[in-house]
Amino acid sequence: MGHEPDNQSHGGMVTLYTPLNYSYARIIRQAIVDLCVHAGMSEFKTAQFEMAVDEASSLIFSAQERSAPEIRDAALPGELSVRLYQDGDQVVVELCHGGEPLEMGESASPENWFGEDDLEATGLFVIRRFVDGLSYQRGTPLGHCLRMSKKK
Amino acid sequence: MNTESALCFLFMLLSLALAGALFFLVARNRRLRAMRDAMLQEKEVIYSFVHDVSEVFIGDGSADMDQLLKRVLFYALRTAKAGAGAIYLRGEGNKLEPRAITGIFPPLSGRPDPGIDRAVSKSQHVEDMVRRQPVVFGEGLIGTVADLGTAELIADAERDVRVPQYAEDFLKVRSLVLVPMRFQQEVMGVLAVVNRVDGASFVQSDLNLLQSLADQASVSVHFVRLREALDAKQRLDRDLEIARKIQSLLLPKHLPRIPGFEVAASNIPALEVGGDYYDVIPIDETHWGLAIADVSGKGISGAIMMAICRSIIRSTAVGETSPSEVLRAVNRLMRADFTEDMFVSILYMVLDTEASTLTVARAGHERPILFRGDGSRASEVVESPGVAVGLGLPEQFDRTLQDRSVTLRAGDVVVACTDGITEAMNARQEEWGVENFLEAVSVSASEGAHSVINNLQQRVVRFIGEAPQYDDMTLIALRKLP
Amino acid sequence: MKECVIHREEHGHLDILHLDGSLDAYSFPRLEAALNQLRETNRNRVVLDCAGLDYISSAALGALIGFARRAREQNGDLKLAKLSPKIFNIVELLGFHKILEIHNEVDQAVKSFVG
Repeated sequence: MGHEPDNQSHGGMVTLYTPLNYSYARIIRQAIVDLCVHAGMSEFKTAQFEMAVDEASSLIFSAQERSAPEIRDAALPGELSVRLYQDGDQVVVELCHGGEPLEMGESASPENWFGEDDLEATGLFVIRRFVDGLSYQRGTPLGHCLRMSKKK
Repeated sequence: MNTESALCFLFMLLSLALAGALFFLVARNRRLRAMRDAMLQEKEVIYSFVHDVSEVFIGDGSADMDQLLKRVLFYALRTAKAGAGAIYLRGEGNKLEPRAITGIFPPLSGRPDPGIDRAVSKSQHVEDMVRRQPVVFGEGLIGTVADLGTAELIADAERDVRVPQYAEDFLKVRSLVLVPMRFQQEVMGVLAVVNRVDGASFVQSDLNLLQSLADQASVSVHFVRLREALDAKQRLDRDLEIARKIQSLLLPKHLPRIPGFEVAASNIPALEVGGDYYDVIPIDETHWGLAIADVSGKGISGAIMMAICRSIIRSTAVGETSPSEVLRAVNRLMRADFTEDMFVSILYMVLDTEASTLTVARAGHERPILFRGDGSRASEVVESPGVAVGLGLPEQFDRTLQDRSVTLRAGDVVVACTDGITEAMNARQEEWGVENFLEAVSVSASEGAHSVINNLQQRVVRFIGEAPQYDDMTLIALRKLP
Repeated sequence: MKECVIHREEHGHLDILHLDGSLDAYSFPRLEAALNQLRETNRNRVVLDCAGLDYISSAALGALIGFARRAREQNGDLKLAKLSPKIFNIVELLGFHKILEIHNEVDQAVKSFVG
């Protein structure tokens, strides 16, 4: 009968394309939560990964807003591609976008959070805290890609 | 008994025991091997299914649900050696709709259809029958499987009262398997197969295989559904965007100057861009038309209706000093395009700058308010009869609609709005109401038309707070300069 | 996953904001409007009833901290109550429990306001 295919770990990649618009964030969150639960990730870890992915999406949305204000009013303001899949004992999310790349600079810890100030720094703090693997590649054929992974 | 025979006997016993043990082990091994084979077969089916389906799925990033379900059904029939099958998915309300059908799959909640005999293509007829009968959650075989989330194997369907018994041979159900399609806790549908092609009945291992397949398929179906929701939202957002663009083209960028008078207006679009608009139209040297309207439809269709309405008013208005004549023309020309539930309420007023009169024709719209500028702060509602455009019979519209005139004196203010203003709601579900509207106008009337509009706008926006608005809010104010 | 509904309940000098839904970047303006309204009317004792809260973003958390800080200067505060275990886990891992006071029950939070 041959090899033992490990369909659980390389099974079904989920791909979504959403406009660069905050109103779509909840659909992205729904997808990541569903996949994490399906993969058997604990409730707490799922919530953490959900937040990391949501913060990352927000970073991308607001970066595009800043770089091209008319994007906010466009019907299809450019796209974010969201790819979710399991890889071994990890769940992986890849967010790819066009336009301006993210800065990916310093994180700001909660003592320095005031809400109006550097939102990117606070978002990055959350992402770095809640994911196991993080990488950002500018200018790939799919756009600028932010890859986050978390062990189940 | 001597030692030899005792030993012999012992030896025989031992051999028997050994043989027994060996036999037992071989049998168990065979069973285990059969189990392993079954599991491997199951795994192989699942593997090739997943591989095949994920290609469909990743492909161009927008998997078609029907294509996905066709694939699932194909694998299901092949695995269980079934002659026909169907996949029901949960739809609107508590219904399960057949989204994929292969082979002659008879309706399982059946009223036998007499038309079958006359049907030219029997298989098509049967498929139509199935498609026309959505299943209700909890009802019948399929509805029960969906409701309870437990699979059902009926090996001898002809003896089971739950299964409809058809007279026609090709419709007979001999055995069937129904498995729920579940993602996490939610049952999203049912996979059903009937009649093994080799005439045998379905068995437990068939059910197990189908359940595994359904479990795997459910994951894909769930995410395709999520994508469908995303696509639906995108289409809606796009429609709204277009509607907004159309509306911004319809509203005047600048209001014309009317000698001796002051006019101001504002429009606050709602979440679901309705069809509000206003306009100020030069009729002739001494006459100006002021229009404010509210279309029943929303989104693009509302915006288009408004565009048509605006065009008709504009073209009919030129040279016509009777507002009711203009609205009669609008009604005549637009009626044909309206469906049953569509209508437009319009308030059209003609200002005579020489005589200082305002003639009003009101097609079902909110009554305008006239504030006297003589310091009395008296306000009167300008009454005039008329039904909305698109409602009732044309003769009725023509007959009911009548012009009414008021004379404007220095400092007088006329304000008209759409019901989005008076019916604006706050988080506590309270309406802003006419009282607040009157109060806001009376306070600012002496400061000019622009002040009136600004004041009204500020107050209503503050009243609304964070509550979402589903109706455009439009205002227009006219003041005779003192 | 639905958009957050914020319902304000007055309790003497104190306000209880009942949250229901997700406080993500999209519904953030609602929170901001609610907090601004409180600030403008000098009401700086707030308890957040988070029983119905299923998600909170960093922007929202930042806004809460900002409000709490300003409120404390006026002898007020913003306190959290009835966080679900998973939201509490997030708040704790981010170190928020050191900045904002968290109570199990709403009335505990209310009582903890002295004076």
